[in-house]
Amino acid sequence: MVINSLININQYVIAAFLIFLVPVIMFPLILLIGKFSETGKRISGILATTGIFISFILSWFIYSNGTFSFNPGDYYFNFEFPWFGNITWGVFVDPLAITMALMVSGVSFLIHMFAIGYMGKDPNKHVYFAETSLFTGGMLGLVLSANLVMFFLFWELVGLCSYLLIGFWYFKPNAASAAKKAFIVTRVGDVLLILGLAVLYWMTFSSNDPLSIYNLNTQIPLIISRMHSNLDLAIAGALILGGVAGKSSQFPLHVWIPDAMEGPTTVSALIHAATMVTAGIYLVARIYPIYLYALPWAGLLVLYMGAFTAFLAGTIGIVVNDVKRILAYSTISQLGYMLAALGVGIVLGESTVGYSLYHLVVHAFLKALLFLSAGSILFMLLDVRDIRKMGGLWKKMPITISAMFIGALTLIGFPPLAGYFSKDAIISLSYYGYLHNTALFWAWFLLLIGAFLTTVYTFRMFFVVALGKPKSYAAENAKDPPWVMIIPLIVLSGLSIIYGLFQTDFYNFFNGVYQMTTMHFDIPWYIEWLPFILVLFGLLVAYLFYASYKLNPDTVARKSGIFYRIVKNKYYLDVLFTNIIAERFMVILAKLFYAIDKYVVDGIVNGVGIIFRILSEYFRKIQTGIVQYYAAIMLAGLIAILITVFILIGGI
Amino acid sequence: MIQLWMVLFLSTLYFSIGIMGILVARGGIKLLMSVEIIINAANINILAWALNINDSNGIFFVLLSIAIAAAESVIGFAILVSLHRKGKGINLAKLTDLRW
Repeated sequence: MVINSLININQYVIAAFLIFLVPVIMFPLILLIGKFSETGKRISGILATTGIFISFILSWFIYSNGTFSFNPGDYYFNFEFPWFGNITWGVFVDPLAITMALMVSGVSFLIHMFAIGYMGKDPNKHVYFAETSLFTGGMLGLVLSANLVMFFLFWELVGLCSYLLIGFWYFKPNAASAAKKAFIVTRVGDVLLILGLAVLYWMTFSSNDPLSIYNLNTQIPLIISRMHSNLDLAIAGALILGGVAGKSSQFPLHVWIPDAMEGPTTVSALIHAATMVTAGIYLVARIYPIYLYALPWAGLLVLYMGAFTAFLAGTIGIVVNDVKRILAYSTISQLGYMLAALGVGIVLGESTVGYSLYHLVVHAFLKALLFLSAGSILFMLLDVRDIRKMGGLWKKMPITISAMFIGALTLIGFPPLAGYFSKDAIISLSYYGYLHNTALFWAWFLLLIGAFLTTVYTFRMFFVVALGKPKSYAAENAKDPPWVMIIPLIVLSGLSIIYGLFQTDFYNFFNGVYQMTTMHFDIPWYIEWLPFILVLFGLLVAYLFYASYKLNPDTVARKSGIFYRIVKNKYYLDVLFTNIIAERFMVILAKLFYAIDKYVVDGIVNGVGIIFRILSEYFRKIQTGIVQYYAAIMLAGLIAILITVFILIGGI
Repeated sequence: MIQLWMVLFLSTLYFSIGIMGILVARGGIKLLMSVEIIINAANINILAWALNINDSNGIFFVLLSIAIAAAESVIGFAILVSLHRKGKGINLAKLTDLRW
């Protein structure tokens, strides 16, 4: 058992375990007291929030004391117990893990606080809070786990919780089917992931601690030298990337996330900001060396999956009318940026984990902010989600919409908000990569266009929601929500505004760990400012179409004809999956297996029965019911046995 | 002087007659009588061997066997009587309720 740089359990190890155990323990606790008492139901939200807050404090404890090591000079600590076979379980804490733990627990804490107000009137709110608590605990466990097997268990726990929470209002048929869709689509990814883990295990089982994060981060060259080629690594990486695509909703498995909007808005905020979709990005960052040492096409796959998704989701975001779905497509797009940032680093052979993680954290803040303000709107508008029925809300609910404004500006990367530092850095990074490797040109191009599209769909949403006249009765009577929902909005707005200050510190935090070489890119100034120019252009376009109505979007939609139809139908991916793959292919396959089961397997079982029934039809006639026949046959048998015995023994 | 083989021969003869009776009997009474004859054949056999080796245990076993045979024939007669009361008769060839 490798227990490196570790002698004894100390308070940091206990804290690291408690970070994910506290919310997990809260799950049965809240369920039970909520089931048996009304008071328990009322305080369930406060309990869950407290649990997450404890996790946050513990994460901060490790972070603030953190050299993350028992030996000076190391940047991590790793504590493992034997589990089964030669697999271990335990915690692995390094800057990457602790950053994620802080982000997850912090953002989840604010969302839980918001949910106290948002879910306040739901009769099953103890179930809701128990499940979100488990959700957050699962994500924290995933972040801190020391072994990919343990990682996979928590990964599945997160998937299960997302299924339960998306379908929380299970009496709505849409919600039930959306939950099912989310579960099945991520399952497709998980099959690929577990195959990838199998390949990795096959490559590492001869070492004494296979699949441990520590080994995968430090001993990949050793593993390669042992007999495996970097082709094996590339195959494992590509399979794992399939799991990432399912969880982090990358093309082509992104289809579940817009439908997942049927759940409560706080659940969407949790999924998009803190607990679910970032798990995939984290996985790639966690086993970064695998991709670094794999064949180059694995890195290009990561890069182009991200860049293409960033572009594709942006185009769909422009034509969707559901406020939450617009945000969902923007999440898909931003996750594409994070994955592309990692991909650039992999292709260049350097570590860009800092860039990706910085955007991930900023995105968590701004997306939680946007979802929570959207949640306030829906809370006040009684679940009207079509942006065409809102309008004029800035005057009605000023704090909420101001928060949304800050979130939107951060999302498009408007300086000096945090999004400018995180997203433009990624675009500049990809151009820097292009200067070194021409294969990266299209990635840069797609990301650049993505920035423009982000601006257009974000401000299309914002202008339609905030400006103009109220377009429904509910919108006319909206006002700001109660303080328990306002405070998280203010905190997240503040973070979105000031977090840009920490860009350099954030990169440095990862710098010592992953030896990132480049901090400032040697690229022309006009390339560096190009994203901002496109953002301004996007703002102008959105203003002309949706605020001043100088241009009519419907005319443009009609003129663009087939393009509009394709985009409006989400590139027919849902049609492809449902109507072609599922109905034409999978249903036929299912029928085939049904037939095999019915006619071959059941046929064997039933056939044996039929044969014996037919035989017995004849042989039962022996049973005449006349006693003397039985006696005669018995006697004949006895004589036969005696004769046989005498012959065998050889006479009397 | 009566020899051992003579008694054993008698026993075998009884046994064969009993078996024959069971196989060919038409009525239930004859069947029961045949069974008694077979049991008697066995008793004679035991007695013959017991006297041959001067062992008194055999005599008591035969007494026990006779008692059991009596009890058994009582049960047999009871069955036959109840069959008769139900009007089915005691012709063995026609008592075929328990066939296929």
